[in-house]
This record gives sequence, C-alpha cells and structure tokens, in this order.
Amino acid sequence: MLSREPRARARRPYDFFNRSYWFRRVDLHTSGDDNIDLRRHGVLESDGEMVCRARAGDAAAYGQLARRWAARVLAVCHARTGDRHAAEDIAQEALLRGLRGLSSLADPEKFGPWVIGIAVRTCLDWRKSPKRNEVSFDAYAGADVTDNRAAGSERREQAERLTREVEQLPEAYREVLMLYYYQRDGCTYSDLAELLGVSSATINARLTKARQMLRQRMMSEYESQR
Amino acid sequence: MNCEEAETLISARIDGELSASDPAGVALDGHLAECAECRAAENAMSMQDAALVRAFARERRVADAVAARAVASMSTSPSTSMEQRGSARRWVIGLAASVIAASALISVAMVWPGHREKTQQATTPPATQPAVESVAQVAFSTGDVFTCPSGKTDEWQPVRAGAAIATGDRVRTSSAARVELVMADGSQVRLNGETEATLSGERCVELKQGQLWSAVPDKAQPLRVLAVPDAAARDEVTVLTPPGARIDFRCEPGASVLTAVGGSLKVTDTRGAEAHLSTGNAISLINGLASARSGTSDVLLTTRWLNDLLLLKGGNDPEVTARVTELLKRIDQENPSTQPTAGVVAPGPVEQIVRSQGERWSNPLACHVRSPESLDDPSARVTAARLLADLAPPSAIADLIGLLSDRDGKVRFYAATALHRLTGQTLGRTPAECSTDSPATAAQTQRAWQAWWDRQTAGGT
Repeated sequence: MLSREPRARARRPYDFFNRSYWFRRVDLHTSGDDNIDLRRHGVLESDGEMVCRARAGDAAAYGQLARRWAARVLAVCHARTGDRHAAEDIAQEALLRGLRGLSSLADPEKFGPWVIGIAVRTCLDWRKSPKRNEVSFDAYAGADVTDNRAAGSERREQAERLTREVEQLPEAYREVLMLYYYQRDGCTYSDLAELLGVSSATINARLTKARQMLRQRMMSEYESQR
Repeated sequence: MNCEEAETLISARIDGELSASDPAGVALDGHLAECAECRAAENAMSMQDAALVRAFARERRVADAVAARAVASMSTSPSTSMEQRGSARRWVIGLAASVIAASALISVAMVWPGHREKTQQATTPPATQPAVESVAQVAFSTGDVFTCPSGKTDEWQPVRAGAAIATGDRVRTSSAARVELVMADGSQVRLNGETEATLSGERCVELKQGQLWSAVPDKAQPLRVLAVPDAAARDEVTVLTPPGARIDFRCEPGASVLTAVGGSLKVTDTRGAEAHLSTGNAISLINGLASARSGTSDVLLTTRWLNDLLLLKGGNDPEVTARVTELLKRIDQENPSTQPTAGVVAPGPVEQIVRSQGERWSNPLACHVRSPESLDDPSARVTAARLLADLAPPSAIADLIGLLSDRDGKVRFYAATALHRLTGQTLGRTPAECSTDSPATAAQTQRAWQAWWDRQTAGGT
C-alpha cells in the first residue's frame, strides 16, 4: 500500500533515473558549466543547499529556487483565486517575496512549504483587495490572444473546457489536482503531502475524488449538450 | 476489495505510486479481472489523466515565465507591486474594450515600461539607488563570462546567472561562452562567444566585437544597438530594434552582417544612410557602409549559436518549444522519409546541428513528443522520436517506457529501439513488433517494461 513516509528520493542512487530527472537537469544546467556531466551529478541539490548558496551571495541559486517552485506556487495561486491571469501576478509576487526574504527563513530545507505559505497569504491579500473586483481579464471574450490564435483547434478548446471545469471543483480538490498537474513530472504524493501538511493517503483520496467529480461534471456537460 | 477501494488504487497506479510488485497492486489486478465496471473506470481515468496533462501544458510553460520575471524583478526597484502589475494588465484589456479614448491613453501610459521605471525611480529612497542603476541581469550563461565596471579599464570579474549589470558595464565572453541578459521590461540581449559589448544606457547597447542577438517585447521601447568595431575609424552603425523585433548582428572589424530574425527594423550606416529590413533579410556593412542587400538569410542556421543558451532553459520553455518545432520541420524537409529505420540516414545540415549537441536535445525532444501540440504534426513527432532513439541518455528510460503505448506505431518503434540500445533488452517484443501492436498489446508491453524497470531501480537501494 502507499507509503506514508516521505521518500528520500533525491538521495537514492537509482533516483537519478526516475522521471524527475528532467526537473533536476534544468537546475544543473543553469550552473553555467557548459560541459557538465550530469551523470556525475546523480544527486539533486536540496532546497536547503540552494538557499545557503543564495544567502552566501550566489545569484544563480535564486533563479534555480524560483524555477524549481514556480509551478507549484502558480498552482496554489490558481487554485485559491480561480483566475489564472491574476494567479500569474500573485505567484510572481509570492516568489519575489520569498526570494527577498530568504534571510528570515528558519529552516532552509523548508523553502518549499514556506514559499507556498507566502503564496497562500498573498492570495488572501488579493481576495481582500478591492481591486480583485475589477473587470477580469477573462471577462472579455477573445481577449486572450494566445488562446485565440488556436481558436480553431478542437483539442485546445477541449483543454480549455477541462481547465474551466477544474476551476469549478471545491478548493481542496482543485488545489491538489492543480498542484499535481502543474508539475506532473517528478511530482509524488509525498511531495504534495509535505506541502499541504496531510498524509500521502489523503493526497491519494483527494486526487481520486477530484477526478471522480471532474468526470461527473464533464459527463453532465456532455449530457446537457446532447 | 470493493470498487471504491479499487478506484483509489487505480488512481495511485496511474500516478506511478503503485509498483507492479506491491501487494495492493496484485490485489487490484485480481479485482479488475473480475469487475468490468472498474476496468472501464481504469480506462476512463487513464484517458482523463492524459487529457489533464495536455490541458495544463500551457500552465507549466507559464510557470517558467513567472519564475524568470520574479528573478528579474529582484534586481529592479522593490516597489514593483502585484497590484500595479495586475491593474496594469486589466487596464490594457480595458483599453481594448473601452471607447473612452482619453482615459485609455492615460492607462497605456501607466503601463508603459519606461514610464513605470521612471515612477519607481522617483519614489525610491536614495539608499536603494544602486539597485535601480542596474539595467540588466544575467539570466543564463554558459562558459566564461566577465564584466568590467564602468570607468575601469581592465578589471574583469567573472559573472554567473543572476548577476546585475549596471549602466556602462562592459560584458565579455570567452570563445565557447554564451550569455543572456534580460532587462527590466523583458528585452533580451544575447552574446555569442568572443564578444564584447557595453550596456551604455537603459535602451542602448554598444557592440565592440563578436555577435549579438536582441529581442524587444511588443510593448517595450525600442533598443538601440551601436556597432563600434573601431572607434578611431568612426565607422559606427546604428541598429534600432523596434518593439516585437529580433535581430542578429555579427560585428567584425571592417565588416558586419545584420540579420532581421523577426519583424522589421532600421539600420543607419556611418554616413547616415538608412536601410529597412524585414524578417529573413540580411545586410552586409563594409567599413560602416551599408552594401546592397545580401538577400534572404537562413535564420535558423545564422542563429544556431543560440541553441547553447536555449538548451539551458529546459524543454518546456516556450522559445525552446518553438525552436524544436522549427528544427523538426526543417529536418523533415531535409529528409522527408518517415519510415522507421534503425540506422541514421544521411543527416542534413539542420539535423547535424541537433546531433552535434547530442543528448542535450533529449529533454526538449521528449517534451515535444509528450506535448499535445505535437499531435498536430505527426511527421515531426516521429522525427523527434527518431532522434530520441539515437540521442536519449539512460536517464530518459522512464520517459521512453511511457512512449511504448503511444498511439503512433512509429513512435513506439523508436521508443523500443532506444530502450534496446540503452538496456540491451527487448522483453520479448522487438521494435518492429512494437510498431504493429494493438493498443492493448502496447499497453501490456509498457507494463512489462515498467515492472522490469521498477525491479532494476529497486535493486539500487
């Protein structure tokens, strides 16, 4: 059955070959070494090590931390606001606050949960802000140039429909679903469990329920269109 | 086991959380063998998972851009607030919808990058002025890159990604180095090896020698590039990169070549004569004097040096995605045959570019094959899989196993070929057999490989 213990995935020698390799590859490549032999770097640098480098003045470490956590920060912001465009601004702000406030982080290894906490608080600020009641980007039909370019693509439309349905799920379920699919490669239940402060079994249950609700919603939509 | 428990386990299996040897997995298989409803649910959940991966592909790319913007913001004013940017975007959209021209113009002024920086500068306390003076940040670099502060003659210091570049700083690259500088408004300046340039102002770069590429976002102010290969000879050339344009400029003493990579631009030679270029045009400048247009340029080959930088950005970066798509399209044109072959068939010049950089292209190619957009061009997708068959490193084994159940038989063929090359195994299904398998058999083959791979990786603990 599912392990309830967080996996020491970055430490295990074979882990170099797992699907999160691509995720690490980007980090390693940004070191500036053109001829880096990734096989010599089979172990992923931890968040704590990156935070320490950043605090010591290594500017590259900031970029690596931001790239490592951007997808999950953006996922939380999207889930909490239900507005993907507002989420981009909030996620950028949260990452910026996190990077600028590294000196106040007590446990460098907890950078991820810490920056997610900042994102949650930034979302709360946004919710309280009167500006959130301004007309949303989404309110203007056809305003999204990127999406419009592919307006003829049926697949794109299906993806858009599915994303909208995910946005309609209850927050706890859309949050776990977005966290999972924003960074599908390399994302494990134990990662999400640590971020959300729940067990891996709860993540499994929430993902299962979210998918079930999503199927029902899609089915209802399909039935209503017939 | 009831159906509810089975559904939870199916979900875990789809997410790769349930290994083949797990007792719960064995129990699940037993339940599935007897329960047609759960088999149907498993099928539906697999399809839903693939649809969700496709649906969130755009968001994953957006996340990379958000990270880049957050890091770039660090070197600029601390007053870049979320509210300001959020309302700015809404104002821009408001402009599109509004008929009140006067108020709309004011809104545009509010979000114009130059205006924003001026506003920030005016409200920033004097103590933080040094941060405001930085005009760019090193976003990516490979090889040895150095900067020399303004006013100094020979105090070159090595720099790495994240370093701030101040007004008047000189930047120099060694022979195999590349560097990308990002300005606060998102403008990019990339330098090839053996290049020296000076950031002489917010919107001005002086190129002394080497090769430069620059891009200016749609709503930013134009960027001026001065080529000054020999200050004494006064053969200065000015290139204006307007919003939305991209240029490639190779500057050598006596002769320079300017290529319009995207959009239209204007070049002014040393005698003040102007020439206008559009996408794909290139012009030679001899001793600072514009010659006749040299016609169209192969932009992909001219800018091949950018690949070293792009490969640092990961396979999901939008520019890398576009680059891979363009490369695959060109490779298809070079070698239109898409029949699966185990060997390499006389690669053309563009394919040679990819092959010369070997496994570094593996990640972008794998991302391309997995992307929903790639389904629009099956031929390019097969080409990507063919290159993966030759270039993929052992770390790509998990991804290759994922492709064994691809709907395209040729993709399955190349995935199986790559796995055979990397592991020496076929697990009873040759690449040729994989290419003709039914979806059910392909899924079975994939499960067999996954189980084998789980055993191999478990042995490392």
